[in-house]
Amino acid sequence: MEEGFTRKEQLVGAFLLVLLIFTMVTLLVIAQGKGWFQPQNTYLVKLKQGYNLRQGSLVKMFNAEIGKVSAMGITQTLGRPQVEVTIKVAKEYADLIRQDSVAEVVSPTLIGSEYLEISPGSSGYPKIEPYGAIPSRERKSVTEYLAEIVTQETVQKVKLTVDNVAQLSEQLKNDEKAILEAVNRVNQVLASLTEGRGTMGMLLMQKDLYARLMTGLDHLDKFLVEAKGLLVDFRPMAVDLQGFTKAINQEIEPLRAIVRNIKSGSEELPDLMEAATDTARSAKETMDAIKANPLIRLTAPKGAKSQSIHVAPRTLP
Amino acid sequence: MWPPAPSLSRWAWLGLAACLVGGCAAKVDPFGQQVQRIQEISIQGEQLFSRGELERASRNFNRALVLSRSVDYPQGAAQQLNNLGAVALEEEDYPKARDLFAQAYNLNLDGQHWEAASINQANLATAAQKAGNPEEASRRLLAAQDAAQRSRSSPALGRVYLQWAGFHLDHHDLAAAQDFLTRAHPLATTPELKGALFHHQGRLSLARGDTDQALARFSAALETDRSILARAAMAGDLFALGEVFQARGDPEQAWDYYVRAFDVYAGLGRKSQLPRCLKRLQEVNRTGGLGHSLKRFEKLAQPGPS
Repeated sequence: MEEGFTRKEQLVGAFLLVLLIFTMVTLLVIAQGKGWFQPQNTYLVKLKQGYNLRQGSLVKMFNAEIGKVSAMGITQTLGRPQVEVTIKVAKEYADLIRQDSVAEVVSPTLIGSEYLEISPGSSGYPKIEPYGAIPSRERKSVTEYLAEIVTQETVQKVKLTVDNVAQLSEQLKNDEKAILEAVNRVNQVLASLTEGRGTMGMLLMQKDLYARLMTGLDHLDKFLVEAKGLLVDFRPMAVDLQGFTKAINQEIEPLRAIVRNIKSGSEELPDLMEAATDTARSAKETMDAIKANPLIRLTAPKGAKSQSIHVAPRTLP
Repeated sequence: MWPPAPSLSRWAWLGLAACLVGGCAAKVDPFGQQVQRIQEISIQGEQLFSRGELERASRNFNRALVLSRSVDYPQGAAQQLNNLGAVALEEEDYPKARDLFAQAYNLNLDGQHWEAASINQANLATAAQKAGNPEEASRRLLAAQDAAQRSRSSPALGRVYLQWAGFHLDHHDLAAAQDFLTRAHPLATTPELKGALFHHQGRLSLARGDTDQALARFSAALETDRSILARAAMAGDLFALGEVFQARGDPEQAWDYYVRAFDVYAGLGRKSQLPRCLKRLQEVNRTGGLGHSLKRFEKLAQPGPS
């Protein structure tokens, strides 16, 4: 009799094994993503109250997540109850948490929940060891902010301002007669203006000036109409000009290419010239050597001889 | 019988040996090479000068001067100073020309290069003559003659005699001119001097009213000057031929020669000569009733940048 698993059993077993492996791998990937295997340091932060922090609230530095709140509890320190927040911070940021670091609860402006912001410590201060307490700063409440604003000094200043206003009102009451007189004067001036008296009155009230102004405006209207017509005439010219500019640009492009070619060619020119000069020099030296040969010298044509120029008067202006 | 093949072979070997010996004999001569280079630059300058390209010629002479001075070659420096003086003379800058010729003369005097010194003095005489100072010209020509005699060079002496002849012709001293032309005749061995001799003989004949002889002499001068492409001299000959035909009452021929002279002067960039030619063209056109258009000549003869 043959012992062992049947083929079906083997298949089911293999399937289960594959499933198990797949699950394990998935778990590992998720754990990696969540940072479950990431080494973390635990620190404590003591606050007067919890400020809506809860387990899982974020811990940030430079507004970047560096850890999470792992636990919260109320403890008694020196007879005063305090909220003790336990946080876990990724080990790689442990170097930044030092004795001068300060933890503070930050509230979001509109959306989101409270988080704990830790300021980075200076390199001159020692690091806070795991399970050490990070110094904290209490978040101010609205009443505290108000208390800061409404101080004794502010109240004094407001009182002084109210006194000044009362004094001013009293003075106005005393000067009522003078003010009334001034108002009467203004009324008189306005009456003169409406009657067309004085320079200002004439300017304002005379119809002649108004008529001249209207004529001027008519002229201006006519001028604007003419200008409009001229602008209409200018438009096709401007269109032509655009075309012309485009054509010029198109023509310039090959010129630019030529200039580029010349530029690149000119960079090689000194080398070429040097090579040509060297070649010419060596060729000349060879020719000189050949010419120096008596047999060749005898048969070679005589070259021109350099001499001082005699300027005969007959050749001159 | 004489066997040609072995003999040819022997000659070939002999030739090869001579070449080898010649080649071995050639030695490195840096100073000589530098002098040769200076002369090449100077020759280029002389060619440019004869074509009327004075600016480029001046550049070459200056370069040759710098090189001559840099290798301590006073003879070359003197030559380039003289040539630069010639450029200044063509540009009608007489004080500058005088200064350069004097510098060249002093260098040649130190080195006792009498032939070159004679040329310097002859050029100084030309400068003085053009500046309207005949006394100084005469003095300079005497100094040139003295230097030429010291040099024992026939062409140098012939050159001075010919310049003397021209000087006397300018001052209408026909007998003295004849004397110097007679003395210059056997010494004028180069085409340049022959051309000058024929030209002055033509002038003498024309001054005496012998237009046949003048025509023959100027024609000979033109032929000689053309053989060495002395363009300025050719233009002078052509103008003189125009004068001969004008004197003979042949305006058509005179017109042709004046036109040719005008064109050569224009080609040389001698702006100052063009109005002179134009005046003669207007004369023969009017007196001969030729009816030619003068527009082209008037346009070219207008003063202004060329």
